[in-house]
Amino acid sequence: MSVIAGADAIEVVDTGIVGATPHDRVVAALMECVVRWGVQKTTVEDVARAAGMSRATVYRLFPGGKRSMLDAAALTIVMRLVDIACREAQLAESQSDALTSLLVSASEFLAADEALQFVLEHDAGAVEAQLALGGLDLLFVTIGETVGPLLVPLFGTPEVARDAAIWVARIVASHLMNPAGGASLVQQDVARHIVETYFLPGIYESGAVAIPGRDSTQV
Amino acid sequence: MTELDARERIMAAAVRCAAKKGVQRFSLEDVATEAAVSRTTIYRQFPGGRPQLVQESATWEVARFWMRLADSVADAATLEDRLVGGLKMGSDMMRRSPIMSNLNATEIEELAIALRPSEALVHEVIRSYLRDLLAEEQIAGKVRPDLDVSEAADYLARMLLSVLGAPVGRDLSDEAATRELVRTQFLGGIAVR
Repeated sequence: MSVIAGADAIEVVDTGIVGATPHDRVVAALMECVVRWGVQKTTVEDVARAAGMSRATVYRLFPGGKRSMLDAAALTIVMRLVDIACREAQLAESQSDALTSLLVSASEFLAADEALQFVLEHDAGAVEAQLALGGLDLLFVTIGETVGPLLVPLFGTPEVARDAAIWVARIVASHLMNPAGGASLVQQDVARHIVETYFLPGIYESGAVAIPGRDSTQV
Repeated sequence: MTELDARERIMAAAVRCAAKKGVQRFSLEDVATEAAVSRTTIYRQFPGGRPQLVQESATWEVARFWMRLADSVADAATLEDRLVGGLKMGSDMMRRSPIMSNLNATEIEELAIALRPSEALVHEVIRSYLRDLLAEEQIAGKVRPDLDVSEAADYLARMLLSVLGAPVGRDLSDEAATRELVRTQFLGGIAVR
């Protein structure tokens, strides 16, 4: 399945359990179980029951058991995140709008993911482990390579566009794992403030200037 | 030997054992030998046994990592130099750490869970370190006079931790490239030019 926004990818988001591929059904069942029992206590049997499959079928789909299901669940979240980000990046008309809407939409999506929020609240170490040593790097590279190209019209060069996409991912990931007291990135004004105060001035500084007329924030 | 000495000595021994044998493979016996104390002493200091020793030693070692990092850039002339030096030195220390470079998936999970409770505290220590620096720089006229120093410290702490943890293909030991990153994404909106 393409990671880039497209009909295929969006369909998975809306399909729910019935009608999706067996893999998707297992991942959705895993998330249901995690919300109910937590990561540690969820067993492969629980997932099989929730997915309406035999334990053997689940193991055939995920030979690595719970660990590989969790990897698949994380990947599902990342792919949906990339879809949302790609859509937002294409709609924006200025650098500030683009990065602000990316921050807000990604944060909203993550805040609305019940399974993820449950795990963060009760078992954040499991998420940290998932992201540790290379996982986070891979996530940022993925965002840079999928969302970055869509930002080139606004940011001028592929390098700056990629940096901008990765910067957004850094800020979102950082706030996800360690929320700031009070201010949340789902608030438009909070997100725009960070973009305009801390990121955009550095871009202008480096001489990578946006295409004239497309950026309302430029002085 | 005071209680604190004994504690530190045992934790230092645990860190050395983890470096030698791997986080999962060292025993309390190994730590007792390494620290030249009895197992009873270890249990008196860490009644929770191995899990408690691993958790507290990991937390202690992370705190020491940041202290060493702060020491290594203490003489830097500017905030920019301090951040560049910190990123270079930090990535270097992580790369050379025998513990960090030999972790398997289970050990990563164990350490991530062990370190999570102290993470907020680590963030606060880094934030307040940066807040003090920014306040000094503001008085010296080197950062924007209207800058919200607490907010900027939070931003810099997040960037520092993010870039050290996931450099995304950047070689942080490349001084010129790291300085460019610091000038743009770290200090672009903070420093006065």
